[in-house]
Amino acid sequence: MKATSMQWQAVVNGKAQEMEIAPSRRLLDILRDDLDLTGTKVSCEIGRCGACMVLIDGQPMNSCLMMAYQCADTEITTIEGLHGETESELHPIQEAFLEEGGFQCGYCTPGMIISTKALLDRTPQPAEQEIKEGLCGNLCRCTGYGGIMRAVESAADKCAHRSSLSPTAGLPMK
Amino acid sequence: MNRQSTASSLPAPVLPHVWEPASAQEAITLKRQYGADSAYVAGSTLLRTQWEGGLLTIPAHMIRLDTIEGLNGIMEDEQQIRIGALTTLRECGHDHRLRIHGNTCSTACRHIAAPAVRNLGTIGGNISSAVGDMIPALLVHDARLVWMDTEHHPSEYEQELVDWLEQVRVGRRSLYAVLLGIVIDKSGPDTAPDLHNHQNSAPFHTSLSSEPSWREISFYRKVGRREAFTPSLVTVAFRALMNREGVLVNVKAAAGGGAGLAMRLSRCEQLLEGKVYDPRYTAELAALVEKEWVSYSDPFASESYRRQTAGNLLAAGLWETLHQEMERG
Ligand SMILES: Cc1cc2nc3c(=O)[nH]c(=O)nc-3n(C[C@H](O)[C@H](O)[C@H](O)COP(=O)(O)OP(=O)(O)OC[C@H]3O[C@@H](n4cnc5c(N)ncnc54)[C@H](O)[C@@H]3O)c2cc1C
Ligand code: FES
Ligand code: FES
Repeated sequence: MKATSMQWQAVVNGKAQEMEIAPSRRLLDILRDDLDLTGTKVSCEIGRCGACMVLIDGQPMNSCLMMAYQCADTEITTIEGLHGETESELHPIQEAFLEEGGFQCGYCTPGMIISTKALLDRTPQPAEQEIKEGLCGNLCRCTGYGGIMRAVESAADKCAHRSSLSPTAGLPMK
Repeated sequence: MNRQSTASSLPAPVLPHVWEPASAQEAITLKRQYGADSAYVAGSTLLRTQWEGGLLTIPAHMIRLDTIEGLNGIMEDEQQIRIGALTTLRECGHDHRLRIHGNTCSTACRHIAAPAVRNLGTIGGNISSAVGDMIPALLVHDARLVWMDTEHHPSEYEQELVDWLEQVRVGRRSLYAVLLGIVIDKSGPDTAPDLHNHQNSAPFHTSLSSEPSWREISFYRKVGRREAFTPSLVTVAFRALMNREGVLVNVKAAAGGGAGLAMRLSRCEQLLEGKVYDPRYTAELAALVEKEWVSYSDPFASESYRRQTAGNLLAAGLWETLHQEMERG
């Protein structure tokens, strides 16, 4: 009978990564401790708060719940992988959170933005209920959700506007 | 057997071995070999909660189930829908066949946890936990579970969900069996009622002869407090056939939620079976659920509060659903 190998590989923010790690290691620890991608936050560690949210092959997943073997050979996107038309520019979702007061301390924000990205990729013009459903796995303990809702609505408009100007603009990452 | 070696940069003894069985039989062999020091792992969403919460220790041997072929996906034939145990809750919640033929199950899947958890968590893990919110929904569809257990003859067998829950209740569930899938019979708008249950039901016979058209009505309701980091309090599911005169037959109701075992509510079913719904049943039904459903108390909610909530959910859910049906005409 076969045991899962220690060789782990995945594409993280567009870059191929290969490491020798325990297959049961949490993705959260791989990102923060092994790859130094500390934009992914750690809070509840049981899937409830969404601070650790990342995209795995475009789907939002809690990196605290996921073990290395469960995301081997996938494409992983963290908050560091999001940017605007150039790498030094903000992604329209990030801009919207800034402009609409979508955060205070900012601890939940990477997770909120990743969940928003997944939502808008699936539903470019979400209704209020769809925004609530898309972000129901992300908790914010200081802003209140009014600013976050506004930010998501504004992000939807920005993304739609940019993709109408150029089909690839504003959405450079996978 | 081939074991993995330990990473040099990490402390040696604590890393679990992660096994890749190619079949359910291999998984069972591993489980028998390592016993309490091992665990079957599907999406690991519930296990992680239990490990981090200190309810269970991280096992020395993790037995992956995702490496077993044929456990993923939803299939149908003329009579049945079969859901592979490793199918994610997301996939179940989006599947149009399940929406048509297993409406309460489909709704339940869309109300468990948040989208990101549903991307990883499986229906098999939800059922195997014995307290998953899917269970009441599956109960009203008379779901059967397909198991593999090498101690059982034949080793692959089907079991009524309700019978398995009883085994769990009396502490006699197999610790080694692997859940392969879930089977529900197809239902839909034109499902014919089960005549055998209604030999003595006058209103049923009268209406059946004058009105051949029966449609399914069903609903699933959940009261949860997820934001407060607690599991659901109460879930209820209901399913019946109704004709144009409002006669209800094949009534099925179930309640569950939290860490309590779900159960069918047979007295509530009897109350409504073969009858035309009348608003006076609302209070009677709520009171009957309170009497019939066995729940429990914890620091967050007393048993009586849970029972009352279940009663109100079922009675109000039925009232709302029937009103919507009447408005649809
Ligand atoms: C934030 C959060 C919110 C949640 N909210 C809900 C909720 O609202 N409602 C709810 O019901 N649950 C909830 N859960 C619990 C859990 O996500 C679900 O029950 C999920 O369906 C479990 O599936 P899994 O594949 O992750 O199971 P796992 O965690 O992999 O396994 C669960 C148990 O089942 C066993 N097992 C798994 N598959 C099989 C199989 N095929 N054969 C035999 N044994 C098996 C495992 O050994 C383990 O004991 C929540 C979890 C989290 C983290
Ligand atoms: S840290 Fe992962 S969901 Fe809270
Ligand atoms: S901005 Fe502080 S937790 Fe959300």
